[in-house]
Amino acid sequence: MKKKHKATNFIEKAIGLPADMISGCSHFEINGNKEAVIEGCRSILQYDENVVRINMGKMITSFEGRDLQIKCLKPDSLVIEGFITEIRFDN
Amino acid sequence: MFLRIIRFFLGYVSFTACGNSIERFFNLVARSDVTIWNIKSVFSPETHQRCAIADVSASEYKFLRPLAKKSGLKLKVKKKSGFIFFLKKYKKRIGLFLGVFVFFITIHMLSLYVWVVRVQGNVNLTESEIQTVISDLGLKPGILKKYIDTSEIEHATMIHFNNLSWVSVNIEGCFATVLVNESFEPPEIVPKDKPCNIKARCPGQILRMEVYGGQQEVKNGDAVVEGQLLVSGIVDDQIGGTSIIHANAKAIAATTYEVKNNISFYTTENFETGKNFLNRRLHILGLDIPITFQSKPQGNYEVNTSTDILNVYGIPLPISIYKEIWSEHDEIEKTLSIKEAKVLAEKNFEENKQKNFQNKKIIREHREEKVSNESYLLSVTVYCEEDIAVEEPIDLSITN
Repeated sequence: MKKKHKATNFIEKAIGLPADMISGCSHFEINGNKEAVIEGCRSILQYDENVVRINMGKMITSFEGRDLQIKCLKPDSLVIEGFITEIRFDN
Repeated sequence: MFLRIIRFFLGYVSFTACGNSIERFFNLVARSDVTIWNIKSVFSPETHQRCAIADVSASEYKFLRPLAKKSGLKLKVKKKSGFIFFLKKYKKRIGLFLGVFVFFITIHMLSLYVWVVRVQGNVNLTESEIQTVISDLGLKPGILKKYIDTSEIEHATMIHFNNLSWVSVNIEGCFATVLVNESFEPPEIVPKDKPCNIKARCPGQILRMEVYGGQQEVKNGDAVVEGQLLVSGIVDDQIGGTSIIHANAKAIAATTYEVKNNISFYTTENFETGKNFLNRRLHILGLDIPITFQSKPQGNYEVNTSTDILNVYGIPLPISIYKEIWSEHDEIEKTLSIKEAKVLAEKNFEENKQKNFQNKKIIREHREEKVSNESYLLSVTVYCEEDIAVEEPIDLSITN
């Protein structure tokens, strides 16, 4: 498994592709501190107006802030809107 | 924005899901390929539970119930929005739908006709003159667009008016715009390659000559009569030969004009008695509806007509009011004083001067007054300076 991961990383770096093209890791897009678009999420672990914790497969990402709401929820993506103050990655 | 419009037309439901495992519910929803949006987390003080408020499309709401049951949540519809729910609300009111249908059919039917005819580009011709002709040719408000043959109207209008250089009929929606361009008659100029003489346009005394081509036949100070040869296009050369050329010259001469104005002391004056009749007609969608039923009055009446077209933000509508004002006139005999007659004669002379002496340089004026028992005569002798040269082609058939 580790070997495969290393191989995909090597190919991505060698060809100059973005990191999520072959290895399939999650993709974040953050517009200021008001909106975050997350692709490749597995599930929502916690959701309230101050924190959104998302299971990304290999890690857990926490969005902390105020008045957080999920603008759109789809099978593998979601959009968080609100006043984001902190983003934390936990393994 | 586009997404919102689609959601509005398909309809959507705002719901609340209350319970302890909201996250599980969201995960189940996401896995079951149902899209939800505008998810907010709130705490309900009534149930002392966490609740989520979210929107889902109307057709997918039914899939949420088993998922909510599985997660131990209570689902409640908060609001139904969208066009589908609007239709459901009024589905028993057939008259409303019928009205909407009739409205669109009426709009469609009305759009098949021309309702406003506009004329643009006319300078000397009046709009009503052109409107009358194109109306006779079939282009008038209230006619079906498919019956309008624009090219035929264009040709026929061109034939009717000799002074039009082009006509274009454009139909845009319910508006027909007739664009015209008036031609102007160029002054009669003898072509440069055609031989001609220069003759006197009117009698006068030559002050100076500016000859650019041809043989001068008169000298400065000579008196000339109308039609007299001033510069000849037939030129003798030094070796005894003759050549025929295009003569070109300016002949500045002193000319005299006598303008007489005879004003009779006893005149009749036309005046309005103040008795008016108003006739109005409503013109709507090609129909003429009389508003007043006043027939044409008997007697000495003059009529003034006007048409008020209803405009909305500068767009003329096919609704107008045609007004006819019949005003009674009467004549009264009036005796003018010498002073009044003099003022009137001077006024007439000034108007004449504006009209006929525009291209002439007036050197001086000599006035003579003659008062008889019946009239006042003002004779003005006007001394001018002007170019009296006029080109006249040489008829070579006679010359040969």
